[in-house]
Amino acid sequence: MEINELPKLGRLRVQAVLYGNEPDSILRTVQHLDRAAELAIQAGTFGRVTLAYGDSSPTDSLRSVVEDAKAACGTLADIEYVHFGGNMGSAGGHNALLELGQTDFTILMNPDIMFAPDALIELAHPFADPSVAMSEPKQLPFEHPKEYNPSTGETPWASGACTLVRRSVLSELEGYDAQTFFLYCDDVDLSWRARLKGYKLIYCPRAAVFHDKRMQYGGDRPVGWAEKFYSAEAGLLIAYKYCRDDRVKQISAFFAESGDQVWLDALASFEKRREDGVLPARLDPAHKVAYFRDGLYARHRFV
Amino acid sequence: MDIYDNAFSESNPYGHVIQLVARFEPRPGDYVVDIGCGYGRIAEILKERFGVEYLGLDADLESLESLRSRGFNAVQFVAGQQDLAAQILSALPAGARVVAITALDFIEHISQPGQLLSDLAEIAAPWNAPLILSVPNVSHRDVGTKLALGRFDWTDAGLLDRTHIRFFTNDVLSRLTRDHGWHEAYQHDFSLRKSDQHFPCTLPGLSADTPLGQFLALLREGVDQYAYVNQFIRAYLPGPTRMAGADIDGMVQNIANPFLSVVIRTTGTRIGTLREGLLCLSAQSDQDFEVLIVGHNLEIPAQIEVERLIEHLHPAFRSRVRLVRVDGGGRSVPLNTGFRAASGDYVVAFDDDDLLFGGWVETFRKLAERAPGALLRQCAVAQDWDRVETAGGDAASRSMSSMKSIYPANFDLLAHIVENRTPLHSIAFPRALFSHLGFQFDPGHSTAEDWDLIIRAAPLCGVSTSTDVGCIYRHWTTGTSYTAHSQFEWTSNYLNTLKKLNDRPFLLPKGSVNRLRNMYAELQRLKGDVDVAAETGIESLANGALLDDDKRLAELRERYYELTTSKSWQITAPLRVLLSALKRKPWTRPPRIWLMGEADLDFHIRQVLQSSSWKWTRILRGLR
Repeated sequence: MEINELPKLGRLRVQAVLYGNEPDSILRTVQHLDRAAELAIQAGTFGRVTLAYGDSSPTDSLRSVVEDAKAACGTLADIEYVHFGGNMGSAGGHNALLELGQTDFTILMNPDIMFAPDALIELAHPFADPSVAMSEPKQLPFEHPKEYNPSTGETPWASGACTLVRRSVLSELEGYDAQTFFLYCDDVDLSWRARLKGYKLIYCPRAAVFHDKRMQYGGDRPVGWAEKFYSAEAGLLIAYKYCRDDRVKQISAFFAESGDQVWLDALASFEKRREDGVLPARLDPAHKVAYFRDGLYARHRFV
Repeated sequence: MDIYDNAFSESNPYGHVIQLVARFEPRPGDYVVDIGCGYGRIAEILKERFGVEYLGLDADLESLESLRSRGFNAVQFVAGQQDLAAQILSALPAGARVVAITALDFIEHISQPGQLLSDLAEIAAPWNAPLILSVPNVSHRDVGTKLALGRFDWTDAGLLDRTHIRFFTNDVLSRLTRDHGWHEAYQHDFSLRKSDQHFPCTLPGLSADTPLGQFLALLREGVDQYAYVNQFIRAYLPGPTRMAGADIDGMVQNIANPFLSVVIRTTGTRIGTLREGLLCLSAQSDQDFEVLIVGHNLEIPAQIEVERLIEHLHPAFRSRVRLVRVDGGGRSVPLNTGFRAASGDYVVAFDDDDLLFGGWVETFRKLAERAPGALLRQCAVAQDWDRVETAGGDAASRSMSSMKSIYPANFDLLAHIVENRTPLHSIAFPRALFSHLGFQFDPGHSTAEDWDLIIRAAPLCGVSTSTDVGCIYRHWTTGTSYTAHSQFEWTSNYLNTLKKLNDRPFLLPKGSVNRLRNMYAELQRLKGDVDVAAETGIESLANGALLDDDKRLAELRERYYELTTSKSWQITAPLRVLLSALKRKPWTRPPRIWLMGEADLDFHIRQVLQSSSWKWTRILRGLR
């Protein structure tokens, strides 16, 4: 198949994990996806598109919001809603959703992603190549700065904010490593495991999605406890998992000397896992795919 | 209604009326029907010049008698009481041809001019006879200026004749005639630089030799071309009858508009980035806006591409997006076209290669609620982008730098006089500037048209600002508008704006006197002027309580109020009373915050924060 020929990818299941989201934002996301699905089905890229929400919120008050959004849809075959009854985190929530539906392709995404009308079609293009496991759209208004090959689109990892993945690859990789990662680095880990199996990940700069991030003058953004704790802990865990003990040592020393309680807690949690013997199995001893520099997991065009 | 006996002159309103009649080529024996004719001072000149017959209608018997004594036909007509058609038709001989109907200084005296105009349209239709109106302009600069300054001087005759019961502006007259079956054919208005309302002539604002007068005059002259029109003198032709439901009395109706109109100018050459811009819009958290894509010099293939982009949008958004085409002219033309076609309360321009954050519209709305009518400005950041060839040979855009805060967080009018520091998509304009005050992007500008408009509008409207970053200016590493235009053009446009600003009085916002004093003092100090040092005491006073900044004062008052009404402060109130009693301190009235200056408020806030009861209750606040 020619690289430019539009592949026919069969059934698509788009899934997102909710946690206390704004009802209007859910409606907007569904409106965008519904139209993108209509165009993709018209183009023959996908035969059927469904959306599945897993809700980690304390109550299921978003159920009616999802049902209202579903009633307004013209193309999506279904919008499923499941309330988890507890906070399963991003990775755990996605894995739970993966078990609930059969499909040919899956989009793993954040609930506040809005697709450009042609984004699904653009994301499908790279799958004409059978060695491609994942394709990633360009996020707006903040485009991720990680480097990619402009002519092939190949990229070292694909963001979990929105990625189209072959379902067969997800099965082969057994989804996210939810035992290790709660909120962060689950996507980097999934990408690296796919690459260790020889698959390619493709960044599609012509496929645009809107990811609603905000900014204040001066660039400062308040960082919440969960973001700080889980990203710090994930930083230690992924360095450990990919056999970078030097990096683990370096981060641990930095956290220990920081005097910052959140970082100290993250370090303590990591050490507790070590004591309990629940750290992840180690991968990539020859450092084929893993990249660690300045707190980044790929070369960036800018910082 | 008084009856006037004004003489005919070629250059007075009667002269203008006769000149309009001449355009319809009256033939000897034709009739001119003059409604509300008074003494009918145009009767003789009509007969002399064109040989036409004259039929005058008026309620006043004395006037009619005057006409008859001069050999003209005259019939009584009392508006609202008699059938106009019957009165006219019974007075005309069989086979008479009406070449024109005139109503001079009449419709402002009757309560239902719309009904009269409808009746006249029906009467005129068989002959396709024009209607010629002469109506005083209540929006003459003299009247408007005096009304703004609290004066409305009735007079025995003139613009504010004490017997006028309806008042007309150009808009009101145009709407009224159009809605009642008349289509305007000619304007031959009569202007007076100084009307009969130009008194007292020493009133600042009225006199064009005062800064206030110049300022108001320039503002009024920008609105429309009727600032000095004394009488609207217009000719109309009868057309289709008024549509059902049309506005009967020429009243302005309030229509629900979207909050914001977003005007995107495109030449259709940047479809990829336009698609991304539309995504940024459809993703906005506040969707109360419309989008006008102004296609400038669009070739047909490009137009098809743009139309396809619109067609691809999801339906709820697509219904609020429309394409407007315009050809010719420079960069201002598509902006002006879009701003004119907009219907939102505010209008903002957005280029087809920039980006927005999800709260862009939401932030504009918050700013509008805080200061209705002001320019609304949020922060913009800049980012370097380039274009890459992707697999398959299609182009895509790629960010090449982090977000750079190169534009200041606040709008400083004085700094903006020197150069623009506000990208156009970070500032929204009240549409009334364009729809009501005649503002537009200067069509003569090939560059810097944005700065030119901002710096002309900001002094009038003020600027309401937010530190939220709402938009990204994409700086393309190749092919920017700066490099596309020659330095000569930039300089010449820049100087043109400066000249415009310098040629008129300039309104400065509150607080400017203090800033200018400080700037002047600083300049003098740099020059080594010793007199400034002698005035240090005055400078310090001027910068102190006497000229406190209102915004800062409001913040301090709010902070003090928050502190003293907090639960933890109120809980310890009995304790403070007890301690005062134990220390035998006399009772003192709590400070009255509305009377305090900045320094006093600051002092009292510090007193609270440093008090022992505030420190003891720290734990309570921690529990919240």
